[in-house]
Amino acid sequence: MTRALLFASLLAASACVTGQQVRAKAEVIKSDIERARRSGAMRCAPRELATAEANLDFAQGELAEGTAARGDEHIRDAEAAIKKAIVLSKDCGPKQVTIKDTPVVVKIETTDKDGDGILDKDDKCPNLPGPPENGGCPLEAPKDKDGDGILDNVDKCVDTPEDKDGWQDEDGCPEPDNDNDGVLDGADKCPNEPGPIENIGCPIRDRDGDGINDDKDQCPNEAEDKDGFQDEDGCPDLDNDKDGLPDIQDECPMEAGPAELKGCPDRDKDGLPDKVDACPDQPGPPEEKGCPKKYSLVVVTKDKIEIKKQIKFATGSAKIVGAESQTILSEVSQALRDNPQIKKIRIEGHTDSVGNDAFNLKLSQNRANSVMSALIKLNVDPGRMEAVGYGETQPIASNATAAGKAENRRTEFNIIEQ
Amino acid sequence: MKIARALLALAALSGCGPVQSTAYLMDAEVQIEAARTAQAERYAPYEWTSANLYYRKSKEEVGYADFEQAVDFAQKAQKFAVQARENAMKATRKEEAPKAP
Repeated sequence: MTRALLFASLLAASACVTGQQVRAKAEVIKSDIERARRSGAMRCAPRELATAEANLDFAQGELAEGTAARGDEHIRDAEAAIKKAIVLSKDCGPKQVTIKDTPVVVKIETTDKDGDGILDKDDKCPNLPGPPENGGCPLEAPKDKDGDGILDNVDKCVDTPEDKDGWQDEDGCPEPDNDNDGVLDGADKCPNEPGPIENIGCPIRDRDGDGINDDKDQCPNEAEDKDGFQDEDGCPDLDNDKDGLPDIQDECPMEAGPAELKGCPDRDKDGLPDKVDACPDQPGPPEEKGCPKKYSLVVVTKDKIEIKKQIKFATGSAKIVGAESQTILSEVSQALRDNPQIKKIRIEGHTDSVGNDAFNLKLSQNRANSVMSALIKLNVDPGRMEAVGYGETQPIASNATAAGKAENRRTEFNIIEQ
Repeated sequence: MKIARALLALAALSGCGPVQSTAYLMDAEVQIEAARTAQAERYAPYEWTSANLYYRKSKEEVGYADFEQAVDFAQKAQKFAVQARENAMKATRKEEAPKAP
């Protein structure tokens, strides 16, 4: 029993010593491996280096597993391999080879003397920096043949200098007529805007857009209204007939007329505009389309109400006699009602020359008054009438004959205001 | 590869060491074969040697039933094999490229 215990402890002790020894050797091999690597073993003894490293790894693995004996085997293999690697790596650096008298230096070329990013061995110009597309040589500096400051490599017209007038000055080509309007820039008042030669190369504008160019437009900033009235001057005519009513409200913009008739004229002043008046020069009521009403004994003209037959009076008196006289007065009163535009009439009494003048004057006045009274009775506004006796002062025919005297004895209804 | 992945998936699910290590070893073997095809022995000797050493050690660990170590070494073997193949291919390309005048 004692012997057995002694044997076991001896065995254990020997195993412990082996483990420590293996670890110590492993450290030595580790440093040898680093040395060999520095000496170029990777290049000159790669297999030996790999063998040493792998076996060192295996040994460490075995030690971790507690199998030092197997670890020791790997240490020995590693030791042998690394020694061999060191020997092989001693003379591992690049060599200088001399052929006869001319030394030929074999180098691993990794230099880039001109720093252009192309290694000297690939650089056609190793001492001059240059782009790869030119083999590492510098590009030839572009020239400027026409001396316009634009280098030939970007100058589209290498032989013609750019005119530098602020128009497409980058292309290197001169533009003698920038706007291509046929007027050379030197003579062109607007070199960058096309325009006809008659306008010195400037565009003819129509600022108000009325179709009349500014050079002919008297109002270049106001558009012509194009209403058929003086449309050539370029100025708008807002009241063509100048009647005070703007054309847009004027139903007759080319003819002056009062505002109450929407700007339309009314020559006969019957209240019906001429454009709808069938008789524009003769006043008439609307129901007769502006034409005078057809009275049997009365005709309304522009300046009077004519009576076809005379009102009869008693001899030397102002008393109106006869049914026909009543009919005449009745038609006169109707004519005044039908023509409200007649503001005032003058009822004139005239006599022939028989008798003395004063009597005749008084008689004629009385007769005119009598007619006015009769019309008032027929509902004519007295404000629309005045009665004047002229006696024998205004004969219209000769008082030498009976017929002439009969013509002179008369009553007239003259329109004095309308 | 499909078998290896299936084994890996199975191993992950089961947590079974032998299956897992076998799967990694198969992967490593495939990568080593690929490196061999790329002439890694000639053009990437360091990685090639490492890959093979780790592969052998991994198999050895399987024999000892130390599956954790086996997986670890198999992964390293695979890593080195991949590097070996890549480096070999680079070196081959350089060698084949026309030399500058």
